[in-house]
Parts: sequence; structure tokens; C-alpha cells
Amino acid sequence: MLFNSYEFIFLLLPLSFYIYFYLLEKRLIIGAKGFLVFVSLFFYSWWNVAYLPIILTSMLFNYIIGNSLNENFKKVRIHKKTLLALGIIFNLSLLGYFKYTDFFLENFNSVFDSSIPLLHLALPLAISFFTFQQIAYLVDSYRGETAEYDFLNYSLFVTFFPQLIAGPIVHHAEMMPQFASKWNMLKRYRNIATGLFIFSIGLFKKVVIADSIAVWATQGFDQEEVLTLIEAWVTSLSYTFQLYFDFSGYTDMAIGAALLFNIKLPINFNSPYKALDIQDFWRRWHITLSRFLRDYIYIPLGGNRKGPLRVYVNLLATFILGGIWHGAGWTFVFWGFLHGMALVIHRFWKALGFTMPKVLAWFITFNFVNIAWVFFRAKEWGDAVKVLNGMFGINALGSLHAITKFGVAGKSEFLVLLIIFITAIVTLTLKNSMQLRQSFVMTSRTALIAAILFVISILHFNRISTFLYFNF
Amino acid sequence: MRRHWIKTFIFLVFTFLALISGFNFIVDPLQQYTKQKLLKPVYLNPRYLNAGISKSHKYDSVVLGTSMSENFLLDDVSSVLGFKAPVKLTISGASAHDMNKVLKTAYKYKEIENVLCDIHFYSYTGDVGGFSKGVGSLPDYLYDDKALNDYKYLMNIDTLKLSLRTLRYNIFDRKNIVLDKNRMYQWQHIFENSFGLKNLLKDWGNRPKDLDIKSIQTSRSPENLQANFNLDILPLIKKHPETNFYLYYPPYSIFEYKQFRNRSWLKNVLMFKEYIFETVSKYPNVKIYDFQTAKEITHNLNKYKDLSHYHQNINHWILQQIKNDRYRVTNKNIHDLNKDILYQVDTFDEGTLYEY
Repeated sequence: MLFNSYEFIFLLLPLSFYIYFYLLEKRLIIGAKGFLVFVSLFFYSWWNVAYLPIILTSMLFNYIIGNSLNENFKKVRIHKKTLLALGIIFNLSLLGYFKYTDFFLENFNSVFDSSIPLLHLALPLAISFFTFQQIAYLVDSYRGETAEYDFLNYSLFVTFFPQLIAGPIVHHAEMMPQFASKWNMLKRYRNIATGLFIFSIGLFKKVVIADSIAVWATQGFDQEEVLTLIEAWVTSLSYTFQLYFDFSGYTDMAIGAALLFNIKLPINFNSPYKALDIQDFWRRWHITLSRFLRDYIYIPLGGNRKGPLRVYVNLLATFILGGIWHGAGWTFVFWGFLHGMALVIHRFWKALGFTMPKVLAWFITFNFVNIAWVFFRAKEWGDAVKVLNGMFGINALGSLHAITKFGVAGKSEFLVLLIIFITAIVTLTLKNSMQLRQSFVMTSRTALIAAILFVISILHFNRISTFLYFNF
Repeated sequence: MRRHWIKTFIFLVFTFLALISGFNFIVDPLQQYTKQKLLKPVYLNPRYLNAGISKSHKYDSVVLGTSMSENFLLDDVSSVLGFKAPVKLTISGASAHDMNKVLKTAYKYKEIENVLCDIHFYSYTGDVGGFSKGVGSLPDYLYDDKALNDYKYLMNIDTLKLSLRTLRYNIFDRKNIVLDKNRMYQWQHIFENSFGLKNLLKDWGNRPKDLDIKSIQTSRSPENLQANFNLDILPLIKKHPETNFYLYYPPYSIFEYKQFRNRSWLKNVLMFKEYIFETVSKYPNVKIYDFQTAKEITHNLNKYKDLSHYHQNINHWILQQIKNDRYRVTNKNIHDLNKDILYQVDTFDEGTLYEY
């Protein structure tokens, strides 16, 4: 079930909200939390109930290992490090099996000229997210940084539906106390209002902005065989903005929905395209992932404690792993490599003490990010090469004809460019949703704005595509 | 104040949604509820509009098919063929499955005396049981009877746009062709100036050269063509002996057939035509007409806008031939017709055309 669906907005979210607080009012705390876990698992199973056992197994296994690593360790006669290694191997195997087997087999086949059949496994939803969250939990239990958690709270930490599918990647230390807190068991109207406000903004960002721009990106990446200069830039910029509005919009919805239950999820985006250098970008883009990579890969690798050369290697390794976490494919690896390299160069540059004008710094950063996204988005190497060829003038400067094919995008070239330009201005100059959340006041004006954004979004759920004549 | 904000928000959301849905319900641009007396529908988007027309308009005959049939004038269909109340439920680029869904929907609401439908080769080359524009392109919430899913139609930005367009045309532009039921879905006026040998030759020159032979061989195989016909057209013929089916092979320009031959589908096309006749000839409610050997049309290349699409005058001509029962396929002439088309394709020499 997606947040931007009728079922979620008009049934699951309001019903779970009312029933949860009704149970709490009746002082049925365990019942209320159990109900929320049940709702979350229902939400998860909506796509494919076959994945339910996977998440349940993962949850149970990690809870037991985590607890054994921690408080009850004395009862377990196994070396603590071995137990942690076992736990991590289990998680990585689960992720590896579902996400990377085919990738591995493909490469194996092409290197050794063999033809081992691919498994074509469907990736269980959210497996990348809940695996990471639980690895963090195991590692912290090993370090003795976790308390002995209640199983119900732990289940909520893993499954809580607002963050289950697409993050933010939450940390047990910030979630568990919230689930345990008695203060959070009362309806808090300020939280509800803020939640609805942020949810409306996120919904609008995802459904109206991202989904409208997506058409041009799809056309350029997936359908056209050759792109002209302008087409290629429209294609890559469309995707750059689509991804931001889609992902950050979805995160806003998660944050908003969680607030209804008095749960504060961590910030995940902070106007990343305003970044003036690549390090700054990663402090603003998918912040909870950067945090995870830093704490559980970069620092354990030695971070910046082992000399400058090692720092560069660690950065590169962390980002290549980050790349492959996003998807099993060489384009993702390369995307991670590009970002790793950019961070290395940035560090080197800074170490030399150079500076540059802000505008130039922004320009370089934004363009780098935009170009790197081409590899992130392309389904095949060829598609990335095609878009980049177009962007850097290997094809002649042309009109937008192919991008605005009649009946596909249905808009004139000028309008497309104008929309992208306006989107860019909005992204670069306006307050982001987290800043809006900070300054949110409960006035009739904000209620009206939120309601309008919300209603326009609802109207966009189900599009009637215009297949105008003529493509017989 | 805190509660008040939430109440205001919820109140506004539901008020706006109710107002917009109410407006869409009253204008009803896709004719889902009743036939509008005050406002004429805008006859565009047949994939969506056909559902509502089937439900709420009065008709006893249906013009079905693809762009080949879109230019029939309903008045013409009445006066030449004598159908009392014809309606057009064509879809440009329709697959057999599209037609099946549309006609089935029409049968749900009305008794149908006559169906006039083109057999356009390309309607049968897609995946068996596939919609030409993919799943959901003929959406169930419009085609079914359930009121419960109508929120998808009413709470919809595109419906709102259609409502506004319907109002705009009805108030400021009442003479616009798209409001004229007689001409519903026609494309003649859009391409009025595109007919002629020059465009046809251009189209011929631009035809894709490198085609994926394998996919063509499967999608254009006799098995695939027949399977599409058997799944989506044949059952309707069998199930409705009370309906007269007038099926016709549209008079493509001879170039279309040349293209068939050059890509070696010609054999499959001819086999398909024989198959259809064999299968259907035992049903007395079906008449098949084949205009593809009609040299006076198919070689008159100024009457085409591309390889296959002909001028509206030809639609009129088609109706007259059907009325006079000319070009009817019978078990006596079926083989001769196929031989004739082979002969025509072989002897046609486009080289001379370029000299004009």
C-alpha cells in the first residue's frame, strides 16, 4: 500500500489512528501497540503477503540475537564476537540472496562464459531498510549500547508503517524511548496538526510535482534512442528533480503520518540541491542513510583516524557500498564510485586550503550531482551513455520534439523548460518542508493551504491519460 | 485552537472534494450517469467516453473498430444502411480486446441490431487479450456499474479539466466539430490538407527499415492473429445471433500491401482472411466485405494521408458498397480475391509515381 493511495489515506491511516488512541484511552497499552504492529504488517502484506514470513523471521531472529548479545549474554555460551558475526552474516545473507543473487550470477556467467540460470527473485519490499536498521541494533547491542527492549516495542521499531517502506532509516536509540514513553500515549493536537500539514506538503511534492516531471525523464531514459542537447538536459534535470520531490515528498508523508502517533522520525532531507560542496550534499540528502554509512561502515573501517590515505580509501569503499545498497547493478556501483571520488577530491581540495566563490561552488556541486544521477537512473549502461552523449553535444543542438511527442507528454517544448526552471527556482529558493515544519503555526491560513495541497493531490491519484488521436 | 485547526483542515478537505465531485457529477463529461440534455459531450478520448455513451445514450446499432471506421458519419450510416439509431464506439488503434470490452459493455445496456466493424490487420497483432494502451486504459470504474468506485471518476483532476472543457465548448464554441454527434471521433477535419500522393510517398520513404524480425514473426504469425480473433471477436458473433455483423476489410492503399509483402507478412494476412471466412461463414448473421482489391480506390493514391488511412469520401463509398452488397466475400470468390491482391501487389510499380 502506498501513502499516495485512496486506501491508505481514507481507510488505513484514519482507522489505525482512531483505534490506536481508543485502545490507549481504555488503557490497553499492549493491545494498542500490538494493534499498531498488526496494522503495519497488514500494510506491508498489502503488496505481497509472501514476504510476511521474511520480515517476521528477520525480526524475531535479530531480537533474539540482539538480546543475547546484551543483557542475557551470561546465559548464552557462545563467544560474543562470533554471535555478532553470525547475526550480521544472517542479515547480509538474507539481503544478498534476494537482492544480489541474480547480479552475481549474471557477472559470473559473463566472466566464465557459463549459463547458470537466473533466479528472478522478486525483491521483498523494504528489505534493504529493515536489514540495515537491525544490523545497527545488533552492533550496538554488542557494544553494550542498547537497553533490554520489550519485544513489542522492538517489533514496532522494525515495522512501524510510516517508516517501513522507504525510510527514514531510523535508529533504535531514537525510536525505542518514544515507543516506551507514557507521554506519547495521549493524543497531542499540535502533533496531529503538524503531521497533517507535513503530510499534505509531502503528498503534493510526490503526486503533483514528482509524478508530473517523471514523464519526461521516463521518455528520455527509457524510450528515445537518440537525444538532442536540450532533450538530454531536460531528461537528466527532470530526473534530478523528480527523485528529490519523490523521495523527500515520501519522507515528508512518513514524518507526517508518524507525528499523528506522536512519533518523531528523523529528518532525512534538508534542501540537498542548495549544497555548496559534495560533503554538504551528503549532509542534506538521505541524511539517515549517510548517518548509517558513517557510523556502521566508515567509522568501523577506521574513519579518519588512520591517516589521510586511509581516509580516502575508506570514503571510496563506503560510497561504493552505499551505491550497491541502492540496487544490484554496475551503474549503481559506478554512481557510488563517482560520489566517493568527489568526496576524496573535495577533501584533498580543502586540505590544500583552496576556496571558491559560492555560486561557482554551487554550480559545480549541482552539476556533478545531476550527472551522477544519470548513472543512478539508467537501467542499462547504454542509456546512461545515450543521455550523456546528448548532454555534451555529441548530437547536434535540436528542438525538444522527441520529448514532447504528441500524446506522451502533451506539452510544448517551451512549457517543459519553463516548468523545470520554475521547479529549480522553487527547490533552490523556498524553505523546505522541515523548515516549514519549524515555523508552522496553527492559523486558518495554514489550514487552508494544507487543505488545498491535499485536495489537489487527491485529484491527481487517478489520471486519465489523454491518448489524443493520432497514434494508430 | 489546536483542535480547531484540525477540524478546519478536515472540513475544508471534504468541502472541496464534495464541491469538485458535485461539479463533475453535474457536468458529467464522460456521460456516466444520464445523457446530458443541456450540454453536449466533447467527443474526444473514446477509450473513456465510450463507456458512458454505451450506458446512457440511445442506440440500436454500433459502429465499431479503429481509425478505419472513425470517419463514418452517423447520418450517413442511417441513410445509406438504414440503421435506425447508430452510435460510434470506435477507438483509434483499437486492439481486438479493446473492441471486445466496448461491445460487451454496449450489450449490457442495449439490444443491438447491427454492428459495423472494420477488420484492421493491426488490431490482431498484439498480445492475445491485451489492451492496445495497456492495463487500465479502458478503466473498469468507467466501464462497470459499481457506484462505489466512481470516486475515481469524480475526484479526478482530469475529469475536472474535461468538465471545464465541456462547459467552455458548449458556451463559447457550440459549432465546434467535437460536439457534433454525427461526426463523433472523426479525424477528417484534422488532416483535411494532408491527403495526397506526396504525403503517401513521404510516409512510404519514412517507413521503419530495421524491424525486429523475431517479434514480428511472433506477433504477426497466423497463430497470434487467429488467437486474438478467437478470443475477442468470435465469441461475440456466436453469442449474439440477433445482431447483424457487417465486417469489412478496409481499402488500404496498395502501398500497405506492398509493405506487407516486403516484410513477408503478406502470406499471414491472406491466411488470416481465409481463416476468418471459414470460421465465420457458418453464422448467417455475419457478412464480410473485402475492399482491398478495389483498384479504383486503393490505386487512387491522392485519397490517402498515409499508407493506410483514406479520405472520408471513401467511408461513404464503403457504406454504398455494403448497401448494394458489392465486394461481399463468398466461398466462391475468396480464393480469387486473394489471388487478385497478390497479382496487384506484384504488378504495381511505384517507380513511376516518383516522376510526378
